Amino acid sequence: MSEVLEAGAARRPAEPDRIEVDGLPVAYRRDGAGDPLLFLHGHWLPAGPDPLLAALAAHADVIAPEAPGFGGTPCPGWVTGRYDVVLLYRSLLDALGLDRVHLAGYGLGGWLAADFAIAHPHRVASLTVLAPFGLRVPGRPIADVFIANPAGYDDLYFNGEPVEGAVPGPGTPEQGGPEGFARRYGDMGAAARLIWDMRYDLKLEHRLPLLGLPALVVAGEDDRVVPAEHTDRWADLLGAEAAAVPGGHAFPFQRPAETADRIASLVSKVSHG
Amino acid sequence: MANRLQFHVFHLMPYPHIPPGEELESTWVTLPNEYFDPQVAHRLYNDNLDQLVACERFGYDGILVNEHHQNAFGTINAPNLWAAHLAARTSRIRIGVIGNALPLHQNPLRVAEEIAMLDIVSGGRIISGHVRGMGAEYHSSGVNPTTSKARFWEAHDLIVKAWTEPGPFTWQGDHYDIEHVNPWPRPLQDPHPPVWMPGTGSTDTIDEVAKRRFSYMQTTTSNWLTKKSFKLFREICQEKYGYEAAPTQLGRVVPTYVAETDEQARREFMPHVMWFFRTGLKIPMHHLMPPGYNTADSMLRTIKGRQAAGVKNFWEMEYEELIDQGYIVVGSPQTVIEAYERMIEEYGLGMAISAGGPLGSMPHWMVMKNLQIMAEEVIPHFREPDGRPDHLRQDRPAPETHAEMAARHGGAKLTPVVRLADGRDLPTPLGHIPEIADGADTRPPALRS
Repeated sequence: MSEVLEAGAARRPAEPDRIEVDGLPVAYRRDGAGDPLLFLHGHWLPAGPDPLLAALAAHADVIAPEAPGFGGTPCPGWVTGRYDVVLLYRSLLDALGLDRVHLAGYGLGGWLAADFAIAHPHRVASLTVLAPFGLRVPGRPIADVFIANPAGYDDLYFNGEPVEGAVPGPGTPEQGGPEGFARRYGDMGAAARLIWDMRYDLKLEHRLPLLGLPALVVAGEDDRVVPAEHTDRWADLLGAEAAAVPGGHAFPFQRPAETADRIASLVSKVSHG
Repeated sequence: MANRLQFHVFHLMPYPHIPPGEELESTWVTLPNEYFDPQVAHRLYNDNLDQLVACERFGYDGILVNEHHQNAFGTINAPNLWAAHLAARTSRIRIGVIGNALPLHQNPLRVAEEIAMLDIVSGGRIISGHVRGMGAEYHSSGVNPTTSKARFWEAHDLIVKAWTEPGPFTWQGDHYDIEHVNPWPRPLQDPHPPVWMPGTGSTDTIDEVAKRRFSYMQTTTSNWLTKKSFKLFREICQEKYGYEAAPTQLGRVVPTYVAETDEQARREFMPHVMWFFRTGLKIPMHHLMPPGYNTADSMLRTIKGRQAAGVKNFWEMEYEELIDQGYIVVGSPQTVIEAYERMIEEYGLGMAISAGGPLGSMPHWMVMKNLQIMAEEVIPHFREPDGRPDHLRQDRPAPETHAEMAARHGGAKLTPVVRLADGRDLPTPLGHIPEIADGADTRPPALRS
């Protein structure tokens, strides 16, 4: 797999493209060929090339937008909740001329992917959620990612096996200088706009079983942010298979090729039977 | 006739019986509340309140309490309760709630109502501080930090409007939608209690305060930053809003300790200062700045500014640095007088806050000693010859006695009445007098056949 990963990483442009969507210049990356796959990032963005997107590009035509307030997409005043982002992504598909896509998302992005599928089921060929946020499992809350001590990131996200350059929160100014810190702080603020008030949406319990889409839940084998009970519950509600990838919550960065394979297997199954 | 400098005693009411800051991630948010012993706190809270009550007889201008949640640094969660307690135990000294953390409250009108109640019962002695609340408090409350600034200004504007414009009116803001704003009571001070807003020197805050002609209170910062902030405040008042800032618009929180000699003062103050900065203020960035509390741009400016100026975290500073950079003032009465004289001359300081009184883990006796020496040997230097605080030379906004009320106003504008079946109005104060009440038919007028 390492060759695929390196090839993908080399192909991936360093700077995102931009496309005007509903008056907003949305930053996105597009790479690979095949069935279109919309990938929604989590509450943090990697600083450098994203190994998961590179690995996915070996299997599909990957479209990875940056949500409002993250990275290169500005945050307009009208984005105050998850549904605003869902509507923006619907318009993004329109702008790209894509009627129907495979959909995948990680963490917060998994939650947004589910929101998108609930709102626009006819535009979604399949749904893959990776360590998704969004459910309430009594007694097993998702870790509070907004207060995590930078000194504990390695343990909380990487289970002691950090990935070079990956800082899953504001971190400190020593990591990437004041600019890097401020950028990550801004990203986390953009996530907080969407989910600080309620870290879960009880309506998912009712809505997910109604979806009826081909779906897959991917968990980190030992995820210390999203407890296993969450991914189990997602699988129950979606009537989906649950797969596990070795690693902690950062498994898509720790095992990008393996994670990409999981997503690609569902895409392939749905598209080609 | 006005004094050159006002002296306000500010109490955070810390709970100091915790391990040293070096052993703690933080004294906020996650410090287990098992350390909090209610029996110890019973003594502490009452000592603290006694200290503030004593300030009236010592002759201070004001006593201030504030709102903080879920920490050992300051345990006044509900400052309006303490203001009510202080109002009942004092008669003339000003009482400041500096402040209510507006965005942390679901309905800003609750603050408008409580401050108005306090203002009335205290005879118009309330100062209303409006603050956003520490970033850490957004972790503790579930309130969204990303909208806190916008909610703060909207709540503030709603409160001032509720105090000053006749109700009922409709408020349809971005964050608060209240169809019927009509608070009873309205505040006693006209047009409303003085409003103070604290800041650390950000241009945005200074501009907003200057625009509204309120008082700006610089929180505990160094001399150079305080000087820079005050200069900016005066410039903005002059150049942008066309007025000269009054001295009472410029307050500075500068913890001060005075004793018999410089040496004695430094020795007595040291452990309590160091507890305050090293343990009380042990707030790591991931507690202090929840995502969205500031913008990424403002964080970048702050970090670069702090790096350029070599500003350390509070808990990294030594005692001598704190003194040399002006975060605190300590010394003999003469030393303290000279320090304040410089602040008046160089910055235009008009209000010294935390000027004498408590800090950190200071025991009750030491607080009282600080208060007394400050009152007798420092404050008079800045007073008019009568030695009185400004408020004792001013008329109170309400009559103090029933007799005075009757002499000046004769009574309320309307007399309560009961409309009788025959359409006559029976005045209730006299409604029990036979000559007036006889024949009164108390059936509702509408039912009259």
